[in-house]
Amino acid sequence: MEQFEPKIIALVCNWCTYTAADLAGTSRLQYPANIRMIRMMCTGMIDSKYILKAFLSGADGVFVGGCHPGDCHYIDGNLKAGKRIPGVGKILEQFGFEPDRLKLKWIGASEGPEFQKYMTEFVDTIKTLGPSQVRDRMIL
Amino acid sequence: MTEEMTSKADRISTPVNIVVAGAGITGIRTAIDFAASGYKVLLVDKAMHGGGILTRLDHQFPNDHCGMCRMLPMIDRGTDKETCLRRGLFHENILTCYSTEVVAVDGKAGDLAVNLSVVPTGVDKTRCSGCGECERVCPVMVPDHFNGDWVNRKAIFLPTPHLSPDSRVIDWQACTSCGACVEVCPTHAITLNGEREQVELKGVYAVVLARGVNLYDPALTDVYGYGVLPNVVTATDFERIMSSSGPYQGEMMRPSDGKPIKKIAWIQCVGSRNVMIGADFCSSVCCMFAVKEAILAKQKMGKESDAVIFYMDMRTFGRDFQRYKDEAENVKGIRFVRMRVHSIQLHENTDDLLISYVNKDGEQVDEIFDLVVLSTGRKKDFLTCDWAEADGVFQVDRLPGFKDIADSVVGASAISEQVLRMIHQQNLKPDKNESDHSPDISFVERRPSYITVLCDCNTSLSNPIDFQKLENTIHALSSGHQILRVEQACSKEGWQTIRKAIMDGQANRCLIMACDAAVDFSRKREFTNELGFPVSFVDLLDVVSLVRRFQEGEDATDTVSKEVFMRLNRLGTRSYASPLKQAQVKTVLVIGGGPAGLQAASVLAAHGFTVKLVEKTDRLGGKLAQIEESDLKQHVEKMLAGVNKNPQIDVYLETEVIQTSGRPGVCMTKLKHASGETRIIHHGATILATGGKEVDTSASVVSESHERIITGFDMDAMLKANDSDLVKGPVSTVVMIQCVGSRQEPNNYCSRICCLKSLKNAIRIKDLHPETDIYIFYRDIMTYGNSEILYTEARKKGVLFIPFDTDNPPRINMASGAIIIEGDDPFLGEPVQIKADWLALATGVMPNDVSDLKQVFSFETTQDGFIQEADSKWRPVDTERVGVFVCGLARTPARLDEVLLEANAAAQRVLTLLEKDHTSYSPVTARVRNAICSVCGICIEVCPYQARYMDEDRRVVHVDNLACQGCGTCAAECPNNATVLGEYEDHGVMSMIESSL
Repeated sequence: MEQFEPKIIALVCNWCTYTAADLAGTSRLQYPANIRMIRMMCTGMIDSKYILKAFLSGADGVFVGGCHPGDCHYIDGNLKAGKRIPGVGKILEQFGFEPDRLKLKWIGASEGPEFQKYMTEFVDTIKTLGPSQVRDRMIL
Repeated sequence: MTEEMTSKADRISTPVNIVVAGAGITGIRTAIDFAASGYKVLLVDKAMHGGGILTRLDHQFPNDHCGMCRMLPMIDRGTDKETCLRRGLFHENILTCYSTEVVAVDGKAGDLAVNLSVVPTGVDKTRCSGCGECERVCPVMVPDHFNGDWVNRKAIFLPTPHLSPDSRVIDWQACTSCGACVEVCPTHAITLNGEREQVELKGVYAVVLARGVNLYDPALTDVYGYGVLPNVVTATDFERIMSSSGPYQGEMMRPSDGKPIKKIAWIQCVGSRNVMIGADFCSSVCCMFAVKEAILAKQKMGKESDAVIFYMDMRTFGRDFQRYKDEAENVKGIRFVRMRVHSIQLHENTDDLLISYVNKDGEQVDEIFDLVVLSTGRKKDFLTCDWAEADGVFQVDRLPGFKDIADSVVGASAISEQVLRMIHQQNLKPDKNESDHSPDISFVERRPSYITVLCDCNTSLSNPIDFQKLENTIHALSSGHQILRVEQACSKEGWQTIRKAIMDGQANRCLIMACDAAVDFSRKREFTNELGFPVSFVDLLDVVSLVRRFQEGEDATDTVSKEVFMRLNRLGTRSYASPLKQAQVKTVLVIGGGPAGLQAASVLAAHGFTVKLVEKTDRLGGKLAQIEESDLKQHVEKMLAGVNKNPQIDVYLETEVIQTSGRPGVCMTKLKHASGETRIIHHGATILATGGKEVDTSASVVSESHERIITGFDMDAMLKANDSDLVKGPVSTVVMIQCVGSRQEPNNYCSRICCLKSLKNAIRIKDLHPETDIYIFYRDIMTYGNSEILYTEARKKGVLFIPFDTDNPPRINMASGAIIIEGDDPFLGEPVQIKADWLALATGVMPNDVSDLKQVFSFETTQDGFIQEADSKWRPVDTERVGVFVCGLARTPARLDEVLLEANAAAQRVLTLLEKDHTSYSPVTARVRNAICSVCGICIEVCPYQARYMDEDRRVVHVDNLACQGCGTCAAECPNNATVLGEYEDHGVMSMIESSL
């Protein structure tokens, strides 16, 4: 059987996490090709429905990366995301999906190695969980 | 105008209004100030990169955060790339040029000839794709100084880890000119010619000199074995050990043997406060730096770790610093030992380090550390240059010293204000801005027609892309998509081809996929200026950085296709609305008529603004009588006279502000006179300069009053009066007690001025009566910067200093009628009893009550009642409300010279907001679709910039376009999707998500 290659969407903040991702690239830190990165200005603008949309469109996992608390360019957008995103995880759980398919992490601008580590770990988690059933089971 | 000039001389021919020499924090701050007002700035630095010391640190005290990006413009955000400042400064009015020095400045302010000496980087940025092959093949290895010399780097390298675009530079001293890099470079971007070039600029209005300080090198004169013992490091080098972008990827391991670090000592005042080496100054930041490093290190080292700071005085003189230090000590478990360490030794046959010292109880303690960090500050000598005193040169370093970020930012903006004042007074104008081109409406209104440009030079890609497959993907989207394959999008010919194809094909949406060299930020501007494209209708995809994360040789077609697909979908959802321009009211409301308010008012009037100066009491001048420095006192008196005569300044005495409404640029405020009469004024910005007052906390230490127990302020006044008992004498013994009611709850902050006052009083008494015994009970003497000389002088004159802890303060015994001070002298190890003729209690300062104003302007205050700035480091004179600024004692305890600088800085912030007749706002701004808005008000609550307000009469929510910074939180929180953020509309983001899978 062909190995399961999950589709993963990473919604990252423009200021810290995107810089870290770029740094990981410049430092030649490899991470899996499964990640589709979408740059947002701030994790604070990541609407819950974007995450649901990603799952409903067939994503096997969604990763949200923002600045460490206190580092947010917009003062506290990341903290607002920190309240909102776990709520989406709960929604997934209530519908019988694995909440681990959604991950929120704070990654600072200099944390290229951390970015690589979290990405690799997340891909591994999703590989263990197998393909997501969200799209198939939610008839929309 | 963003990338460095590699074809130096040609690029520099662009008009330059202001040259900023030094690209550290101060240089960057001034450059952004000028750029925001529309002036063309050339920002140069001798170093190979910008950012100064900050590029080596990830976190700053006193909150352990980073927030450098908060310096970026908030008005006209679209002029800047909006990206992390560690990657570089990208502003359309700023040209950065490193390895460059200003060598001569001639002429008069307003019309200067500036000579630059430029060292080529060796790599042409307009051709470099950032592939890094050159670095891979370079055979030369030299120690990487950026990373503390612990690892090696090549002779062609990236000067800072985050640099973007990531084109390398050549270290000519290390380069052997072997030519390996030249041969391997796929875009022929490298030239091995390191000869300096000379460039002359003419018609420059001003030069700002912001060189910063040289750091002290402990290898030269110190006794701590730096350079010999491998695990003795400097504080800035230690930052690299902790950093994820450092030599050990953030693993806490020590340089000599990679052993995990579990126990660290910091030794303070290395190279500072040492008269033996002529360093009679304090470097001001090292104490806080060490506390921060200790906190972060302890967090990283985990349990069973130990962090010890050996210090002489903990100089926690910033408003929030004492609580930060207390938390480090009491909550985070950092140990503080008051001790000048004698020496560091190797422990037996290991690389561990042994420090022996005598503790409080007089016992010798031997402690073994994995690593010792030397808190090195600045060098004794300041950098100088021949042209520093030339006409038209403005020196940020007029107040020399090593400053923390907040003080640097304040000093920088104060200088910007002075430069602009000169420019305004000479009536000089910025060069016409290219960005004033507005997009061609016919482009916008036509049906979307796409063109995708694929640069297939492919030479710098480490991973293969199947271009045919890529084309198929694009055609699958819609057959009408035009595709252009160009050989080198970065070259002039390439750009001409793209241009022609767009014009011929009538395309009005464009995606360019190429490498860094071609998809630079400035390209977007070219689209607007040359082709009439709205910036949001162009997307630039840096394909090199997209595929860099793959293993070499791995096929990247799928990822690239997905990305292209996603971006084209996104482009399809973009719309364009011509930005509204907003007129500004060029009047400023200044609240408070003390030195800060007077300074801000006079300065703004000099720029041509009308000022409404509102003062609660019946006279201006504040605590004028208490100003001890005669030059500053004269300055304030002069301002006072000037303000009263100035027709541009309207003074309202006995008046309070009771109500305000409006938005930055256009506000309406209601004033109320003591007589009950009210009036409404129109203004564009507000400066809060409500000041502070002496806090009399002497009651906390003395139960009953005594005519010879006075405050430091009183003593100062007595010493100025020639007929006072203190001046006439005889005086046998004077005792002073520091930090009375300060630096402990509830007023747990340093007032900054009391130590200086006590020392000056002590020196004056010693001058008058050399035989008088003076004892100063203190906790930490806060003579930061050059005021350290007062401390040295006082000690030379025989003033005795006795330290005490908060848990054992000196006691005052007046039972016998005499004033007896009882305390413990830790040096003698015995209790002391001193009978004093005079006892001066050093009481501090506190802010005036602003609770009424807080209601009116809805700003935050600290727990001590100071006005909370938007960001204590990066935006020190802004409040969270855009268009409302703060300066002086209202914000923080400060010396008068510092207060005046803050007032200038606040005036500069007003200039940035109000200088242009109109401001336009970024397309990435929120708006409300009123038809589906339920007026629930959630968006108003979550907005971090107070950019939203409710129109109660019409029941609609408004967005203030200038205050809105485009964070999008409102849109995400809106339960009805009634709020949308420009360029991040739901359908755009959704289509991107959908197409990326």
